[in-house]
Amino acid sequence: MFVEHFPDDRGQAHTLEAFTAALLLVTGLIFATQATAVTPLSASTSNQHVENQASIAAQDLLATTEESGNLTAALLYYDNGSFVGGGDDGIYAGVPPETHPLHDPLTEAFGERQVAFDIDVYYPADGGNRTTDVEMVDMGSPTDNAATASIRVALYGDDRFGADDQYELAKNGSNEGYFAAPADGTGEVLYTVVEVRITAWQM
Amino acid sequence: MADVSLFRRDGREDADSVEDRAQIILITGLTLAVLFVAVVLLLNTVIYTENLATRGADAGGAEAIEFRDGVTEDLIEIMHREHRNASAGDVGDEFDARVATYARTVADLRARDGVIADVTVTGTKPGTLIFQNETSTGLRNMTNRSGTTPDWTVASDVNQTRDYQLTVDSTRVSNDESGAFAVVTERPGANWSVTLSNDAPDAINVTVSNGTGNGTTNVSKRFPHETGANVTIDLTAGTVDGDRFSQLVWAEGVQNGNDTYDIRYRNGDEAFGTYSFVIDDPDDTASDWSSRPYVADALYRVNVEIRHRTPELTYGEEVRLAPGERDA
Repeated sequence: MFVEHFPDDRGQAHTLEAFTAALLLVTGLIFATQATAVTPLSASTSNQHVENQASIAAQDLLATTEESGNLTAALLYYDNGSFVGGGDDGIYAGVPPETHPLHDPLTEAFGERQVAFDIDVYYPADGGNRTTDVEMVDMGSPTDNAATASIRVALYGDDRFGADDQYELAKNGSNEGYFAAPADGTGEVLYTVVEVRITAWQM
Repeated sequence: MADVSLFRRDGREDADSVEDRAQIILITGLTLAVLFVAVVLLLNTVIYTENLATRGADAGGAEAIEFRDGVTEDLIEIMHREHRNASAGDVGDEFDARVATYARTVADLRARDGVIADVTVTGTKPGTLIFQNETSTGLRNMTNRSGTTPDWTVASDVNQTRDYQLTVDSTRVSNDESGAFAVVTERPGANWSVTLSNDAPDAINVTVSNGTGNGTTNVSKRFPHETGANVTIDLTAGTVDGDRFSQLVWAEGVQNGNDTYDIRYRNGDEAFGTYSFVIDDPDDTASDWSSRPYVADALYRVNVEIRHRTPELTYGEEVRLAPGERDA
């Protein structure tokens, strides 16, 4: 047996083809890696992370601001039938203004990260027969991938509300149009318990 | 010629096969590319599924604990406010009513998340709140109600004391320890006292003295603080202006759970400030709001049963609320 070597002028073509094939492979790989995270919202591991992060951020924000008292202060930053500094309907359309107790935490947690969020406050109405809600922040309708977190805050009769803390819940709550009515009687000691819910999603 | 013809034939065939191979390489390249995409997508799906499957694998215990902690905090706040709001003799009933309202409201809110939650008071131990706050003209001294007796008994027949906060103006305490203001607890056979001295504007000396039949031991420590500031001493938590004082253990050797003791003030005219504490003896002194120190009906301790039920987890616990009891 012997191997015959014939003259061949297709070496260049072969090399080119090999390069093309290699290029195809690499392009395929690049495409594949990119395709798995087309957007942070397409179902993928990174989307999970985004959701988990938003959920944890919302939860931690509620926990820390409740501990520091800023959350209660935000609920009491309500005057003349609307949240102080809110829009025409008394709702903040984005991160609340700087005077708002939650301005700094919300800016840090969501505002700077391009995460949209809604904050709703649920409270008992009709003497506890019904639960209704008032919007504090409304940045639109959440996407399917939104994460929520909630916390309950007890409001007491001696808590002061208004733009300058000029009113007392038990004494002026109903006259001055505070959104929630006392849970029982005049609400002298325990005014009511509200639930603050944050819905956060990637824009 | 055979060579030539062979060469020709082979040459032609070779040329054909080369063209075939080029196509094969192309097709293989494409196939591999698609394959890689498929593999990557598959792997991603596996990780995603795994992520989903492992998430929320716990039964939601953290949620239940969070609920318990929130309720505990809120009920302590309610208890605290009830002491100053309730009409005489009704503090227990009013607290129960308040907790019922709280429980109903919280249960409604929790129900929206598919949780059955319940809070009930299972037992209370009445007590007495004794406190002196700031007067309209500033801090009052630590003398008795009439303001004439510097050495007097604040409370007698006490079993337990909680949440004892004492705030004094550091610039107006006696400089000399021997004649300084002291909080004394004593029962036959044992006594314990805390003396506050050093009228420097930026420091206070706290001396804890522990006496039994075998003699008395004194531990003294100097606590610097901001100039001119009032100093808060938490006698039951054992802190001075927030700093831990490990020897400051409320009524050490005196409060043993069995024997009753008296709380007395010595040299009450040598200190100005406010104080507040709750004792477990409801009959000590009748509720009295006529002048400082005020005496009010209070709750020494409340037992609360907390239930939190989700489809995955039923959590129940009886919590004892007696904020500010000494450790141990």
